[in-house]
Amino acid sequence: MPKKIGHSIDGIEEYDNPIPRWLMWLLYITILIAVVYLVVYPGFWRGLSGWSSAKMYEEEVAMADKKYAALRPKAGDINMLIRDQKAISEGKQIFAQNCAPCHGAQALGDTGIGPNLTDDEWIYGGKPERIVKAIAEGTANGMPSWESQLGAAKIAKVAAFVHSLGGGEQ
Amino acid sequence: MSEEVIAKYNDAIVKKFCVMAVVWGIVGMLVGVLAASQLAFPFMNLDIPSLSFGRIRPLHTNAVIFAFGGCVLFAAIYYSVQRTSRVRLFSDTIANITFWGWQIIIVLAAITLPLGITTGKEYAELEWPIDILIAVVWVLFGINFFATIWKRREKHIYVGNWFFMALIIAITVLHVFNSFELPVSMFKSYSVYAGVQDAMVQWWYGHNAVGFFLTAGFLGIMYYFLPKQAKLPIFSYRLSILHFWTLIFIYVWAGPHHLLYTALPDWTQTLGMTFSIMLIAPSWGGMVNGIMTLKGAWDKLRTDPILKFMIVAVSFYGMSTFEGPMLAVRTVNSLSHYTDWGIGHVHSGALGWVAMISIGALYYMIPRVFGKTEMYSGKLINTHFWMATIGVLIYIVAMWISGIMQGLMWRAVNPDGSLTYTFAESVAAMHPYYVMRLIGGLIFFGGMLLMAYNAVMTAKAAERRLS
Repeated sequence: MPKKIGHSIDGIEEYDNPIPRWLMWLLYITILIAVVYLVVYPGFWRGLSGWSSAKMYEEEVAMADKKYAALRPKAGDINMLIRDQKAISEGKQIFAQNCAPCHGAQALGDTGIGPNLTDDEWIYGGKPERIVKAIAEGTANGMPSWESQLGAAKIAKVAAFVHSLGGGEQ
Repeated sequence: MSEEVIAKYNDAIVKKFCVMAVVWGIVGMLVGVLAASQLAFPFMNLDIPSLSFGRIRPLHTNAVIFAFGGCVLFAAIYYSVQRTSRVRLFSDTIANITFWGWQIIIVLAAITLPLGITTGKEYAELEWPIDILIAVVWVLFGINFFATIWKRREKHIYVGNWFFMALIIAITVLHVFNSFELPVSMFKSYSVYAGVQDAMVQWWYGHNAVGFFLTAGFLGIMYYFLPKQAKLPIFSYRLSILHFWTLIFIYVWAGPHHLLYTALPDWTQTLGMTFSIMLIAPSWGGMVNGIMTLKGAWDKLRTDPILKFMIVAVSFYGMSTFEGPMLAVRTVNSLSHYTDWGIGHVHSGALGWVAMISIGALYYMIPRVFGKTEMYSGKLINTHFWMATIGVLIYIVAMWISGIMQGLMWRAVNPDGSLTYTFAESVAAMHPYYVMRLIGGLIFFGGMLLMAYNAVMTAKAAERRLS
């Protein structure tokens, strides 16, 4: 039996067992990992890697810009996009993320904020260009401008989707 | 023996805190079940503003941590410090003030939070008049504890008491500094810190409320009640010294891991992450000392449901103190942060570790403070054990799946770089797991009702014997 510490407190005794080796190694290894990390990354100094979260963000944005630039339709392509099923389905996603809160998930205007977009009534015109304009610039009835938030490419796609809903004019 | 004990130790105060621990445990977990049901079925907010999720959620966290957990800590500390010091409490009056003061704080929290009176700081939502009351009661508690230690008739200060000292000192500092606020009215104040500094102070507090209130405090409970219940010596005195000092030194630096990828400077984030990694071994020291204490006596686990609670608690402690540092790693955190994984992690600690070790300690104390040797029914304790274990497992598994799914859905992108899923779609995908979590929570809650019944029957049997 291992040795006991020479006291008994309220009947509780304590062995003088050594600390398990593996636990000490775990402590040393985690300290080593921390030290290496602090040498490579900013902590006590700027770090060997030169990494910073701001730089990481810029790099990721630059990478995305490069990767997706070719895929982005020009704003003027709206008359082609209304025949492009892929663009329409992407527009549906954009709609769900941005427009559904006011126009309803099914665009039925059932939230009481934005009007129904699925009927054949077009308050500001049903031509593709008119829909793009309404989204980009906003309307007199309180719809905000989405130009800065969505950008021309996304507005074109969501316009193609909205156009498909109510049997828009050509 | 019971008469001698009554004269020697103040167990009346322990009894009061034990009873209220059971009561607040049930209340706090019931509110938790209500909150969980609202996430699965939004109509459960019943269209009553004070029952809506935003009001109920802080009520749940405050009730389980500070009402249930707090009463357990008071009970266990008042019980064990007298026995490990072989003296009666320094002051019965102060003890009673801490009891009634703490209950008043809890009632005030239960009134103000549903009314929407809040500072908006997580785990520190209570407004400034209540903050002051907490500080006063807590300092009085500290005076009573340290004065009892001071007049002890035992040469050595037992390891459990080291953890209680760390708890009392750290929580005083954390609560006072995080609560510096400018009152603008009776019910509204603003933090004196601004912007990212406020966030940093808040998570220095929030993380160490977990580290010292829910970890150090309950490790102290483990160090007293586990060897008492098992009637076995602690595995290693050396280990308890090392893991105590490393734990309290490293824990206080890890708070910034709650703010990875935020406006907090990169260097502070990195420090928080590295200190979290270094925290694994010190945390595991407590688990190893608990589990190894039972080495060679595993058969006791077959027959003793209280010991089962304690050993499963220690196991959950080991698991969640490994999961925590992993979640603190930047790359893991970029997936896990703001998802249900965090909720799952918190509950494997809160239900698996804190509640289980608390329940074990309560089952140890309740019969003794009522003048009995055993609870009314050992079978019910065993049933409670299985309900608690199954409940917490269902809860954690549900949150792991939904958390990782959420994280993956939020970052999924289409070939053109747009998001694959809307936020609403990720919410809809969580529904089955929210129902599963509700079921797990209900089972755990059901176990607490068994405990209340068992406690009432134990008290009644004690009364009968006395009359």
